[in-house]
Amino acid sequence: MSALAPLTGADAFLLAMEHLMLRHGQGQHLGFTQVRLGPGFDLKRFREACARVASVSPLATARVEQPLFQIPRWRIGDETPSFPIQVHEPNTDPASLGEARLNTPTDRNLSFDVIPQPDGGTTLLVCWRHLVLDGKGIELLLAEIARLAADPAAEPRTQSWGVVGERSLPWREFLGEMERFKNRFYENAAYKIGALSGSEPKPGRALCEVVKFSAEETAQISALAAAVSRGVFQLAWFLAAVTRAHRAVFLHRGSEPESYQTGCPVQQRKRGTRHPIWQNQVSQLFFRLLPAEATDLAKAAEILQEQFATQTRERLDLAFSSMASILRRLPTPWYLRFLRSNSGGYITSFFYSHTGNFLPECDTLAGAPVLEGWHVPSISAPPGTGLFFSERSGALTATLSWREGVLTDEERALLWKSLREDLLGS
Amino acid sequence: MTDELAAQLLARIRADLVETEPSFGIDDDLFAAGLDSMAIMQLTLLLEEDFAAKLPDRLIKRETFTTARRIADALRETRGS
Repeated sequence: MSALAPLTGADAFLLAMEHLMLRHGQGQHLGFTQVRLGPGFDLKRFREACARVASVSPLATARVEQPLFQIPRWRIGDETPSFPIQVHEPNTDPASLGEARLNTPTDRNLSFDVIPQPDGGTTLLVCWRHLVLDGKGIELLLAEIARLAADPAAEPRTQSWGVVGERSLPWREFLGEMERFKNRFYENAAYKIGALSGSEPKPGRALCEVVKFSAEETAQISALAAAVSRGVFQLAWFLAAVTRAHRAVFLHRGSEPESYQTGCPVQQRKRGTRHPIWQNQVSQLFFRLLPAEATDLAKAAEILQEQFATQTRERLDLAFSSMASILRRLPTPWYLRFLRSNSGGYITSFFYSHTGNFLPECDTLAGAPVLEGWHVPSISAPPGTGLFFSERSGALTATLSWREGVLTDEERALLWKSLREDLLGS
Repeated sequence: MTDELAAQLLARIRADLVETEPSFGIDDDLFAAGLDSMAIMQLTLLLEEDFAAKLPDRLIKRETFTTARRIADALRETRGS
């Protein structure tokens, strides 16, 4: 039986981004999650658990419909739901496979690749359409699969597919939120921004590079972050380092934008929750640094921290969420035009997120210990680059995602050098 | 030891910020339960609005937010100072 559900505000934003990507030869908006498992992976139990989740979830069959001037919606198909699972030869390189997945058109919302490792461990790749769920959603999906794999008699959760972002507000409060969002929006729009791709979309493959920091390096990074952020507000510190890494490339090119601006995703799920899994359940806060503010890491972090505090006090995450709900009614090309026309075409200076501890819900998955993992979303150009962080077992992972042609090898090395120097204080 | 303020705080944290097991108590680790930068920022706002206490800078540190009891201690210290 078919069913319908409205896209969340974040889904609709991503639909606009995917529209840009598809129109300009950049492929679908896909991501992959790589999980390294120790010995003991039980493929049969994993397959069974995946089948049980697929049977009760909309993840496998949901498709977007967009009636004119109505909120676009998911139609949940009535075909038999399943997640494809492909098992590969042990000599398959997971990074190359992941990158290939980002660049291969697919009609599947989710698929798994299982790569046995010579040391008896297993690497698991989950390829996902970003329209269908966010990075936290993927972790919650893996946690649900792990729960079912650990207990074949357990019932799959059927209540995990709702929406947390929908709120019903009195008009006065709603207008107040719109006013706060508008004020912030125009305050930022007064500054021109730039992105490393330039403002015009160009075709190109999605490329990525993952850098792992050791536990010792991560401890050093945490100590440095704590000294600036008092151990509680690391968001601003990482964002400052990411901005400065991009700035290093701009300076190398010999020109600098009037400002660096980016949105930072804010989870709308409660912390520690196991659902909802489906759909993008995030809002955003918006940050801005001027070149003169980015010359020193601590100073930049302090400025971003103030913006973080102000926006939290004004509940701009909720205000943006309300605005995104309204914008859902725009036909996608108009939505995209709105995003681009208010940013000189750039949309944002770069993408950034720190998803915190990777898969904290799970010690094991289908009998194998979870050793490490990270997410790699493909990104649009503009802006052409994104830096994403997560941690597992006290070790930080940074992922650079970029569009072919946006960064030279020299610029990429420069970006990593700046980031490492800032994070490690060297 | 019973701490009514800590229990009250934990109830608010559970209602708005962090989903925990029913057995989660005022001495259990909030960071292990998922407390992050954004949630701490929202928590400091909640303390101002619902408990009429603006924590001084010296108390804005990781240790303060480890458990509901520690947050309650910081609140009492703030109100007493």
